[in-house]
Amino acid sequence: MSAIDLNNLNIAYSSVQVVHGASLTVNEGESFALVGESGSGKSTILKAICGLNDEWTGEIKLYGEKVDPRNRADISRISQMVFQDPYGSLHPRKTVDTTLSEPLAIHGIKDNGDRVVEMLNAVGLDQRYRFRFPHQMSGGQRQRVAIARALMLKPKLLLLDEPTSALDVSVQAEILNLLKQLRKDQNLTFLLVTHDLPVVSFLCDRLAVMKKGKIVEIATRDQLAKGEFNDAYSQELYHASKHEHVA
Amino acid sequence: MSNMTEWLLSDSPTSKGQAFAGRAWRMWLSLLGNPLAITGLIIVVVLVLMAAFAPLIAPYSPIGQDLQNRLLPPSWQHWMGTDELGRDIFSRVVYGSRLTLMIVLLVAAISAPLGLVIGAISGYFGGWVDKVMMGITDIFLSMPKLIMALAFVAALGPGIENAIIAIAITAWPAYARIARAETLTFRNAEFIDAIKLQGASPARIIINHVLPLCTSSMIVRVTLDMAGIILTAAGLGFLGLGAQPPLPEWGAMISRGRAFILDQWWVATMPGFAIIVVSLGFCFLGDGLRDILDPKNEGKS
Repeated sequence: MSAIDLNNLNIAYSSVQVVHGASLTVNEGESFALVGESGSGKSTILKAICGLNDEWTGEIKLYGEKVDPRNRADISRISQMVFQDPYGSLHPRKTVDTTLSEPLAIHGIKDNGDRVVEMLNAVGLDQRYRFRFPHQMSGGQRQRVAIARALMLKPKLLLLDEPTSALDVSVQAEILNLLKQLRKDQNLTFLLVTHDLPVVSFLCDRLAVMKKGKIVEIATRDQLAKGEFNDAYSQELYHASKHEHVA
Repeated sequence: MSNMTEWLLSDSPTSKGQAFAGRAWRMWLSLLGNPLAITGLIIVVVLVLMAAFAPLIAPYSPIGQDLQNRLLPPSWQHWMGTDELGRDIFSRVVYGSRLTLMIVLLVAAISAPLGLVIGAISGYFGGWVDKVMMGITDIFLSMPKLIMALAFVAALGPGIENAIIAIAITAWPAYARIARAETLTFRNAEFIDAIKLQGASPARIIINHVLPLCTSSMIVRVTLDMAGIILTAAGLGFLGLGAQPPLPEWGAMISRGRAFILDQWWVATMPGFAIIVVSLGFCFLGDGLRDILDPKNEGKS
């Protein structure tokens, strides 16, 4: 079964159309990437899937169920999101413990903090961070908390919005390894938005290249490794990223 | 003691209580480092103690008349002198602190939560909810405070309860504006998006996640406004629309003393002095609180 089906998805902010007829399928258990320059509409697609933006037409199916933008069922236990900026995605006045317990409280799940302890272990955070405030932690630690929060409700699908681009290079590697490990342990499906092709080749099975709101090509990791893209823009993006690494 | 401090300042607290106690302790420490704020705090604490123990502190009854001893200048018998009915002014000022404190606390307790909730709802939902609620707020905001309070008191009848209601009704729009402005700064923040994605209802988001972030600026603003509330209450009292005789309300006392201000200056000056000191106290405290509660300072101190 496919985890995400997008069919002719159009997204517009007021009168400006940002995404034009995007269609793609993400299989269950797969790790899929959306790549493209900033402004190409990749984050917008992510927001439409998770429900932060309801201004779209077309069809979104999650695990075979159609999503109705006007009458959204609660999909919080199916899909969760990790945001780009770990400094902005944690409530500044809440301890790690409160942040992580909140999803359980919302869904009325009784738990004596076992799940919090378990998730802190899973994301490799020591228990002494449990009652800290966000300002008492580093960016990487915060992003681990954000990942733990996304996994509290045991979702099957994780939407990742440039989860490492706000972090130091060394911390980026840690977070990427953590994500890879978690995906293996918990059988997660990933939909990752990034502009960083090395991240894609490390973490993803397939990728869609976006340009100006259109999906220009869907390629596999092998194609990415060999640089065998069919579309001229994908080639350009590939060479630009190669160049970046030489420099 | 050092164990206690260590426990409070631990960077890896072991319980929720310790985490919050630690944060409160850090704020207390930075408050201690601000002499003006401490001055304000001492004045406010003295006011509270004075109100609580008024019968023990005041040497005379605040309403007992003694016509033999009217309009006496300050002396060892009557520290602040006596008024036109021979009542001891010091005792009246001490008992008056109860009225002042009651007015300030009741106004804050009515108007701050009201403004907070209206502002947060308005800012969070936006759109037509925001337009309607802010329209109403603007109507109230556009009327001068004292005039509006006067109109209410005129309609409801003079008296201290009505003065409190009138001041509260004129005070909340400013708080609604602040709460809305605060809410707008983080309604699109990712931590609010994250909590939405977890399936939280708007009520839960506003109460648990939006309001806690508005409260610190609200506390600061309310503390700073307390001086204004005291002055408005005194103004109403002065005009004879607040506390009624023989209640020892400071504004009303000044009003009575006005008749003798040239020959018996102490009758009007002593309660006026009390108003100034308490207003200043709240201003200093509010200023200090602004420094330590400012979210931009969070984690730096």
